[in-house]
Amino acid sequence: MMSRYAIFLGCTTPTRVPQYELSTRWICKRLGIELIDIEDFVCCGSNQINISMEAGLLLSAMNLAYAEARDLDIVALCAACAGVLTEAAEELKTQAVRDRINKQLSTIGLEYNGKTQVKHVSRVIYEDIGLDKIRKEAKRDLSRLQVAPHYGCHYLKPGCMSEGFDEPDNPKTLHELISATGASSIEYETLDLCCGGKTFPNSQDLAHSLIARKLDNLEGKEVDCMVLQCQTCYLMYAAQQKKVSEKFGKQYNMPVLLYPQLLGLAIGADPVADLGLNLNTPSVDKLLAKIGNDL
Amino acid sequence: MLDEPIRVSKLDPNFKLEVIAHEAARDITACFSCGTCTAGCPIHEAYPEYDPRKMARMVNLGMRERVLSSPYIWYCATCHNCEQRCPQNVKFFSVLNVLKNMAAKEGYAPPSWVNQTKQVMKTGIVFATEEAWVKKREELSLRPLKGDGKEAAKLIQLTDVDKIEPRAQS
Amino acid sequence: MDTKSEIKKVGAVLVLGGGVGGIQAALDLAESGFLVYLVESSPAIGGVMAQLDKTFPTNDCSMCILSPKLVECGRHRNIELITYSDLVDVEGELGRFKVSVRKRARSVNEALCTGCGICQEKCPWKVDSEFDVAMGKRKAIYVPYAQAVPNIPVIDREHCVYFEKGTCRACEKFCTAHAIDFEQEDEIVELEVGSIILAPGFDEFEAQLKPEYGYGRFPNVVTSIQFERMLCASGPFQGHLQRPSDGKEPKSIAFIQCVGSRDLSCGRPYCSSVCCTYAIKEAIIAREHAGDVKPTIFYIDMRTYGKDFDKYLERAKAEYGVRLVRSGVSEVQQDFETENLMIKYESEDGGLFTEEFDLVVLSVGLGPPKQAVELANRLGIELNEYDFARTDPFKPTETSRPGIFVCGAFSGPKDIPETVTQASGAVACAESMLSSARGSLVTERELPPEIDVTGQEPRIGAFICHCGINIGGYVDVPQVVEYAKSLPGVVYAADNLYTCSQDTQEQIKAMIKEHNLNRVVVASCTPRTHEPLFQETIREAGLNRYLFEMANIRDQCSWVHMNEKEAATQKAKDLVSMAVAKAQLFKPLKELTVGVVNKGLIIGGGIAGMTAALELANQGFECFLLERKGELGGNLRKVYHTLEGGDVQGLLENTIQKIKENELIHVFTNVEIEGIDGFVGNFKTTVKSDGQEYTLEHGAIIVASGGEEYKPTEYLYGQHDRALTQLELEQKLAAHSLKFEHLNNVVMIQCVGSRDGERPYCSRICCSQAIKNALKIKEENPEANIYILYRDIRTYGFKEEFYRKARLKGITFIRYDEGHEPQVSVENGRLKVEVLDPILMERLVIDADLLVLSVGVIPSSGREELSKMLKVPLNEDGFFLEAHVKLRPVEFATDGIFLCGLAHSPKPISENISQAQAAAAKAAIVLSKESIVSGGYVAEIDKEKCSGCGLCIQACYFGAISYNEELGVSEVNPVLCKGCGNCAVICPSGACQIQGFRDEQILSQVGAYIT
Repeated sequence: MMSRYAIFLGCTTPTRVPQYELSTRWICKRLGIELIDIEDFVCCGSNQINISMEAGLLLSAMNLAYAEARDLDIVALCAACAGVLTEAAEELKTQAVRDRINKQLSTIGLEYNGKTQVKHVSRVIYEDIGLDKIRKEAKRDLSRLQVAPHYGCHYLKPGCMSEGFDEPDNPKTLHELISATGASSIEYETLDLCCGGKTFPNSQDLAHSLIARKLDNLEGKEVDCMVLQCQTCYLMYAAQQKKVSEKFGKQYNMPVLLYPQLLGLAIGADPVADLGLNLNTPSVDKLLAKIGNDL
Repeated sequence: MLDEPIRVSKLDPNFKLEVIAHEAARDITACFSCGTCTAGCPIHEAYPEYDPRKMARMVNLGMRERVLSSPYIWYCATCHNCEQRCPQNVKFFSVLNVLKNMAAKEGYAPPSWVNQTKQVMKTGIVFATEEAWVKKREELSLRPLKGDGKEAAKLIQLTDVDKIEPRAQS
Repeated sequence: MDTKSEIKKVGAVLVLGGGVGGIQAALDLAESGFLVYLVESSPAIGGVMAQLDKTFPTNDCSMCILSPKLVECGRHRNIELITYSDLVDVEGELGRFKVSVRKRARSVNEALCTGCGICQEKCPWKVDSEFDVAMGKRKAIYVPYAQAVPNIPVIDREHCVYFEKGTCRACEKFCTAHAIDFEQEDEIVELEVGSIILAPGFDEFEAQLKPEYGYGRFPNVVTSIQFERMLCASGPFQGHLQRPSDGKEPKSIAFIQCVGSRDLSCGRPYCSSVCCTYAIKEAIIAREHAGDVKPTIFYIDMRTYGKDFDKYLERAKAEYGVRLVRSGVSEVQQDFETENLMIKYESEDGGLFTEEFDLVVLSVGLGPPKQAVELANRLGIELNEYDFARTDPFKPTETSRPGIFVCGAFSGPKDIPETVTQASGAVACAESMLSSARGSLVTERELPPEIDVTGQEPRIGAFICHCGINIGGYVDVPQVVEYAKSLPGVVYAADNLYTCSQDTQEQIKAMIKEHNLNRVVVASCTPRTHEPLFQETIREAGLNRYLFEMANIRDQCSWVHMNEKEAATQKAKDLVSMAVAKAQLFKPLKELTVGVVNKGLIIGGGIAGMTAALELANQGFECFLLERKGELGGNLRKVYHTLEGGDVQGLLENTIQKIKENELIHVFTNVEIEGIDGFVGNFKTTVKSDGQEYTLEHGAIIVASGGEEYKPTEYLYGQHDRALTQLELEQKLAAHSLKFEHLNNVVMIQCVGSRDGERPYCSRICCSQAIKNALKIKEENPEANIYILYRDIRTYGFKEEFYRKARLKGITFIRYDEGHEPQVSVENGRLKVEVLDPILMERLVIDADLLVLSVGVIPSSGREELSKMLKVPLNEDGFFLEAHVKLRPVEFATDGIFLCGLAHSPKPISENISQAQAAAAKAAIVLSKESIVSGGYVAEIDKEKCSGCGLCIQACYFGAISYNEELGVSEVNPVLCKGCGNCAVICPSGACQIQGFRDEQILSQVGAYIT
């Protein structure tokens, strides 16, 4: 039976990193996950929490209610969306909280009854498709690739995110998802260092110093690219890479991929048409050449 | 560091009570200043002045004005390390959110979050509808976004979040 | 009719658990006339203490101070060791329990095994050693460690080739005693006992439950118990400090404290009490291994609250360069290339630093034993919320089921001195209930009269042992026998396969008779384990015990010269000739019997003194309780409730009532002690009480002279009426004389008169006391702002939950470092306290309505006179000095005198009670005997040669030598002499000699070797 989910795009992916959405839709179609679009979805509320936790929770609840009304669970591309929606769903398991929120939801004709489950897209691939299937479907030989995984803070924390699935202090799932494609994931000391994405709007400098720390750590290692699970992490490591290089007088040249793009490469997708790899910066030319494919 | 000592009688002992009234921030007074949160904070590593333990301390001592007006409380990267590692189960991240909410109500919010909220009430997402990304989506044959924040606006206006003004730029 | 008093009580006790607590309890009971079944789950007794390298604060070698007790347990007539066994069920009640114990199948016949060790050598399967915490290996057939008691291996059937595949049987093949029994089955043993003492110990926190520290992922992150094994000379690395990943010598070592303690996120909110001090110990010992080792300890509070522990801490910093960093550690990262570890910490001066270390040691906490819940179900006892045995603080060794007592870590994390104290305390409680049955199940041996050998030429019998192939495989034993025959004085020499076996004992006795032997030499293993056995054997044959000598041709010969048979054989011959030469000069040594006055004297009528008196009286011993004030109670009169909410005045009333009702306790008030004379079993004390003079005769003395509150001069105490001590505050709280509406700001200052230059010790109770009183104030006035200014908060063990409770109530804790003490002044008539907050790095000023000083505990006035009268020492801080800080906390080096309460060191009521019970148990050992036997290897002073210089008196630790004014010479009291030899060494004229080790005897050995 094919798994069906409401796909939650969030704010940043569809507008700033559309290749993440493109590649996700492609691999889901290919591997048997049905993605249903709910056009009414709005911002998950994670940034609104800063000025009003109640407003943030309301936005999350709105989205959860939309999915529940269509009898669907949610798959999110952004780690923060997945995180915030999961935490909201946890909070809304309590009757008293649900009552309070539903009173407000009712003013726009919505109701939430605590049924919606939220998962990050990597978790859906891991659990619904499975590593074996990925290995079977692999068509390209990625064995020459050395990949640095970056999990993203909200994929693993707080505890309810990874409970029963992965471990925040010794995470494995992304490593395994990468190995299943044939590529190797490397060990590096700053694995769990945050990308700084959520502090970027208030202090670019702060975010840049965090980004630099990870890129510095990877400089001394044999690694062909980073693989991420969140478009905000992508914006930090990829889109900001040039700026960070200039600021600290470095010459970083670290290609950055989103996981569905790596997976897509493995199972035979067209790098441009299906995965949008031409939109990634820095350029992934060298990487593609290594696996015998050109853009 | 101030030259004048802080007169405790001038501080607000009710400040921590205000904070712990929020369920998630309830255990802030359990903090015993071990520094585990600070030691694991990626922002602190880059910015020594940003110090979760110090912030918790200031809440517990009642330094209301200083905390709420501080620019530092807005630097949090939401990585959750502090909550994950705290031996006393202090949900520091949630405490910080409560502090930010309180500060926002008093006019200390930075423009970034306020503007994003205003945007959500317009387009449903934190960004305005821009030609560049609309076109790109078309090129990639990705569906258009609804771009309508009316329902969202109606909902979150119930919390008066739209009445929050950002702090004056200096 | 009271059925309980009708039950005939059984004079036996089951001790569950063979760690140091269980061992101590077993020995105390056995020495007091009770039969003991010591049941231990692992193959040998010893527990965690056997795994430690050194113990704090003396840095004694753990095995060195433990193994004499292990040996004693193994050979004591009144102790039956039941190892590799578990408790199955308990029925019955106090006085008569029926306990069933499952003896798991060892696959080795205990009666036949001689402990030679060959089976372990030949076994082909190696398994991770539990004792070495998976850092070393053991065999499928094994004893857990070399000095194991009993030295009888077990087969781990899950990892045995025979049991898994049906082949091998190497152990059976090589065992010359035919002791291997593959068919052996588990056995259920039914035991009848009057009481049960639980000492199952603890299990350490599993470090992988704090995954952020990398245990299990990073090879160079180890736990503290693993580090002990690494440091230990008998450990997996033979004492070479090397790290697991590459064998490199670690130079920088980080210790992370509170791993699995004070941590709600892993379900361990309490404090494990011992980790601060053990980390300091491990850091010091690591430094001793290599002078360039740099240890760093990352901690939250430094809880070195025990006796001499703060001094130990200061020494660690000053002499050993141990670095302490007050910062929690969020995570440990590994450099994947070097496998070094990185720790980020917040410096005390502000700022985050990353440091690299070669090795990280996690100071894991102490948890209840894994089988605690199951055990509690079988025993029918209650556990507390952390699954430790539940006890009432005023009854610290009682479980919820009458007749079942508890000691050691199972009732809460604690260190060795506390465990040993509590073990003796549990013994006192058990004995109180079973005193009518004392001696009912133990028997004295009937011995034949001693043969008079005076005037006889020495006729020496030499027995040379093969010890299986332990000796015989590396030394030509028959050659040694022939050689022995040629030695002067030897009239009989033979070899034995196992000299220690039962049948050889009979053989030795038969040969003594047949050949009229009057001296015996055994050349075999170590006198440490076997001397008493052979001494008993020859005594049974009628010879004086001291006509015996052992030559160690195993540990000191065959074991260390395994590849040099010729040279080893020559050495064995030399050792035998030395033993024979000495034996020629042996004289039978007398043993004295001195009668015991079965009464006790207790000095001090506080809670410790009163408890001790009641325990002795409950055991049937008359006692004299001396109190220098007009009424009993001591400091207890000033305390109203405890941190745990106990009713102290209620305790006081009950205790005094019990004393009044007990006919065996004679209370003397307004006492002036005029003199104390005598020795163990025979003391005479003269006192003046309420105007009258009394001379009291007793066999034991318990010192419970207590302590006092330090009256400070600091912080304007005495100069402002709002500056109080904690006790004064407590008085006012109890009298409801404080107007809480006016108490808005209360400031408490900790460590006043403690941990400073004059009194460098921790007074242990003040942190709890402050929190207790602060919570009381908050109860009355929730709006009150209370600030507690501290250096370290030392709410150890389960007290930690009250520290958290205080913080949740909004009580503010502000730390001050040494050198940055708070400043108290008066502004507009009001007290002003200024202090630097080290977190903010800013000064705070608090206008205080009340200033409460947590002052220290000082030893009672009059202690110097008392110590002189008793001839027992005081330590540097003025508290009485016990015989050994670790293993003899309630005894003095002088026999017959015991110690408890604040006179020993500051501690809370609950611990004073268990220490007093322990002192009573020790005193009961003396008082329960009709007479004391002493002598043998003791010092003797030749009056002719003695000049009365008195050097020997100064040299004696045990107060055994005194000056005889009339004769002008020194005299040894053989009852107190331990035969240590100090006096003989220092004696300039040779007048003082140790019997059995006289100069001529030792010189004859040297002579035999040289010629």
